[in-house]
Amino acid sequence: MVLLSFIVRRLISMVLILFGVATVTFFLVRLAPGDPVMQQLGAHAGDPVAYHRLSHLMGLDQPLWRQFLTYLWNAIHWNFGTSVAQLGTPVTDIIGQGLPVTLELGALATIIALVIGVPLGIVAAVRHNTLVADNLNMGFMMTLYSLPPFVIIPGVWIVFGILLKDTAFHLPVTGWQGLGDPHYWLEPSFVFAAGLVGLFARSMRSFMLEELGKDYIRLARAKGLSERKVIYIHAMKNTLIPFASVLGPTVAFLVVGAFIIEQEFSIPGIAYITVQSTLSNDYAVTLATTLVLAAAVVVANALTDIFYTLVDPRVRL
Amino acid sequence: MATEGEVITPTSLGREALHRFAANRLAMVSLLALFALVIVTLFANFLPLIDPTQGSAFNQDSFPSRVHLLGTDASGHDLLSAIIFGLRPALAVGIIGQIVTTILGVFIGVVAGFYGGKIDSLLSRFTDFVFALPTFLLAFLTVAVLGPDWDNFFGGSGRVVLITIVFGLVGWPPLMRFVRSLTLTYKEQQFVEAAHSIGTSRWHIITRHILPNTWGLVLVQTTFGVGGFIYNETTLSLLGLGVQPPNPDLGALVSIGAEHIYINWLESVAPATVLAVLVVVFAFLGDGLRDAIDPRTGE
Repeated sequence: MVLLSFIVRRLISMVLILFGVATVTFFLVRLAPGDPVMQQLGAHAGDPVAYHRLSHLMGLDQPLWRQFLTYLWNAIHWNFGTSVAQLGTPVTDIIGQGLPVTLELGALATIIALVIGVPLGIVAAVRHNTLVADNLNMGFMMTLYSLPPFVIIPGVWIVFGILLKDTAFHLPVTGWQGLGDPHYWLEPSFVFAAGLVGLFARSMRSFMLEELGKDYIRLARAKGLSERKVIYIHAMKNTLIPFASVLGPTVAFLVVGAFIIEQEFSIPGIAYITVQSTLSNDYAVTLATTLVLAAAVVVANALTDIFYTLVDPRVRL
Repeated sequence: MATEGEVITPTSLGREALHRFAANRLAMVSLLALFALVIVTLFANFLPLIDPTQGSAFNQDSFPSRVHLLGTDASGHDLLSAIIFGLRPALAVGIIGQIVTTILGVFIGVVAGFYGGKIDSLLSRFTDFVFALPTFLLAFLTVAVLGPDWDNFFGGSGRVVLITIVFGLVGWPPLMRFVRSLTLTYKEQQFVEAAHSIGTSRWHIITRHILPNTWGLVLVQTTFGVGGFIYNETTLSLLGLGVQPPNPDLGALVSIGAEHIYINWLESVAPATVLAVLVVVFAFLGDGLRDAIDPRTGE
């Protein structure tokens, strides 16, 4: 019962946070310079009748609070109006085009980071306090984690775009052709993964060290289990629970990273769309994409908390 | 790290931490590098540098020469001075924003922890709320919407002020939680009880007895935070939302340089290297400080 009430409370707080985000973003965008009605009027900009008609159509002649409620109501029903820059295209269609790309890229980066980062973290914990396997390794992971990924992009381009130009390893500098063409996704997904590798390796090391110091590990060793079994079966299993706590930060990290990677590699994902829409004052799109990305972060954090209490009942409810 | 078998002489906690820090080579090198970067940036106006806003249509994307030590960028600006002046917004947002964050976090945290009860639960709820907000997205939206207007304030540097304010206002929750939990533990300890018993005022207990005990650990968090703010600031400028041209900004230099990578690779590599050094320096400095001040958590 305590568990259930925790989950319900956590979900309610998630909805409240989402409401907060929707409110802040809505009123923030209303502060934007420029009149969205004038922007759409074009040649009819001087015509007051057309102005009134359009502003009525767009609902902008309503009081602000009613506009806000309408916006919320429509948002809940997955309706964000139409784009100004791509005249008449529903905003949800634009999101529908961008979101899969961002999800694919994020999934690739996460998989790459897990495959590289987790073993590096385990090695560092097992060979605790050795120069290469732990100290240098973790120094490098710290560097990867704190670097904005775009500082390594020029280096990657120089190697794979220029130096290896006439070889089989040549990779195109920008663009996106879906998951089917690894030539296009290899560079962005590895650059994207770099920071996550650092995060995963460092977290894995500390979770592993914690487990390795516990009594059951000593028992496993004492009864003569091979070191491999001790680490990969006994200790590893128990690091999975704390490792779940990294999920929330991972999603937040992926959202910021998506802005950098999609912008630099010209990948038409949702972050790229967000940036482009601010440049063309297409605020209906900006508002919607920001809300979608924000929802991803907020929901991921809530799910992490809930999952954590489900698998580990000792966590404070 | 303290060596074993040493003859132990009486020393203060602070001095011990200082010794540990000084023995950490990586942290000392980072401190020196940061010191050098800050000095160069602060006194850039007095250095014999070419005006970084002065472009030349006849000398774009040039390689290093006697006049332009690192060559020129895509608009013919001197790259070396653009990098040096471009460090300013990054450092300003990172350091000033982090100071704002620290003041807010420490103040709210210590009040919540010390007074407890309703005040604590109210402040903690509020902190949870702000913490759950997607910081980068809100900063992005705020700067995208308000940035163009703010460009005109504070003699053209309004956008940097805006970014600093935004980051400073949303970045404090982790620090608040940290200071709150520290305060909760100190509050129960005897030195605070003793201070209470001789009639010390609450404000005095907070400022003289509790806060001094938190500075070391707060400093560690703050140092890590500066790197994070610089990360976000340069990301904004990469997206074209940072300091507007012709004023130089590191993130924008990397981004624009990368577009010209086939013409002159140095244009993006040079600012990217400087930025990488700047961010990494704060990370290693924070790591070194943490090992020095709180050796147990290093493990």
